[in-house]
Amino acid sequence: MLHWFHWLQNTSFATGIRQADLLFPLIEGTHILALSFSVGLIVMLDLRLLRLAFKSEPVSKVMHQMMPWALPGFAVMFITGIVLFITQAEKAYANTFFRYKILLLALAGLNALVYQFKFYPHMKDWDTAPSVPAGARFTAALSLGLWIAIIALGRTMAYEL
Amino acid sequence: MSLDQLWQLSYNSKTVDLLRNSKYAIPLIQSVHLLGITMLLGSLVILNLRLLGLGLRDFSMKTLVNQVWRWGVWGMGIAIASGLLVFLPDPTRYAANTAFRVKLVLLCTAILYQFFVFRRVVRSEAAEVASTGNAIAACFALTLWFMVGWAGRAIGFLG
Amino acid sequence: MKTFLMIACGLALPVLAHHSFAMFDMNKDVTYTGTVMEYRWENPHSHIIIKIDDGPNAGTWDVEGGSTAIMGRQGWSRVTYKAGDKATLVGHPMRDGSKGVSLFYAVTADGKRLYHDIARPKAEGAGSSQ
Repeated sequence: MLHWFHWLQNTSFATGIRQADLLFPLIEGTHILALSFSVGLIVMLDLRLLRLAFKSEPVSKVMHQMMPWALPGFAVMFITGIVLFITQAEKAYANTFFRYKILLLALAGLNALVYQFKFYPHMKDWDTAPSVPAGARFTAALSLGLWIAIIALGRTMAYEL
Repeated sequence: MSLDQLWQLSYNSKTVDLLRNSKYAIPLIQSVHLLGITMLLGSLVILNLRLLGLGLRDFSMKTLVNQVWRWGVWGMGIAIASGLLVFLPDPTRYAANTAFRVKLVLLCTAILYQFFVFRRVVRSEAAEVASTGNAIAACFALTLWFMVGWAGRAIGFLG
Repeated sequence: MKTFLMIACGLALPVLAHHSFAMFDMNKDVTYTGTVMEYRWENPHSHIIIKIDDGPNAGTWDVEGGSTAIMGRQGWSRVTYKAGDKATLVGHPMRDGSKGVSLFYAVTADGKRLYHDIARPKAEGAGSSQ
């Protein structure tokens, strides 16, 4: 695995970006600012499930209004994230904070799938109900917690030499 | 008291010293800063997509403002408070950084715009329908605030 | 919201216990003279891996500089050093004693100083000791 990461980060593509004055911060900045289009929007759905925002709106409406913009946002996060990883594959791989970040990202993805397959099909039952099923509320709380941790871990990566 | 004296006072203070010397404080505070920024920019994306007539059109502007404006303000408060805590342990270094100075100017402009112009625009009846005026107001808001974000990134990369 | 923040930070903390942070003692200036093992000109930080054969600082050190743009403005380039070069680097060591340094400046063969960023020694007046 390490050999492949070493090769990857020494390709001219990776080296070019890693040594570029403007391109590197541009890609990294996009990765961070795209959080507003991804996490910033998905949080609204989580808040609705927890009845902390959009209380008088159907859950499905919040979801269907936010997702068309959140999904491209996550795509941008993913693509810029992969490019950034490639430029320092070996170092990132060895970085403890990065490893936890990837683990939590996987959990966040799994959590989203759980919501999609377990709760989304029955959403119309409690779309406008005064309370949301405990399981759905749990996925929302977990989502919020995970994303806060993921953002913190991403930032903290820089502090391991 | 001159600006330099003010920075020296901050640099020497015991509380600030605690911040600077703690292993975990600075990364933690910077993470909080990022969370505040995400909250703020997220709210701005929602409001401006609607103002531009590009998205979230099933919601009235009124609903979105009622639901999302306060998260934006909280995000701003958190970002500013945490930003101050990043700045105070090392004021001379940041004060001398061009990108930081640009960021502060843009930030002040963005805050003034947010509370004196944008707030009025999104709360007016005219905000419900897309128009050239609304589009200009939206583009201005997004550009200003995202430029603050970019300037923040430039602090460490471009100086 | 606050609870989530605390939980999230709690998740990150056990990790902090295992590895040292890049917390440098910015008030200490130490000179490291040795042989360059690796010169990594890159973002987000350039690195000079330097090997010191004897003396109190014997060992291999990771001297961390700045971005290519910031270092470039101070006179650094992709070819300032290469493996095998002799180098004298002044910097701030890690607080926990591990072999990591935050670069202050390098002294070139002809005695010139290549700074990491705009910070200059306190005696000269401008900026703080970075």
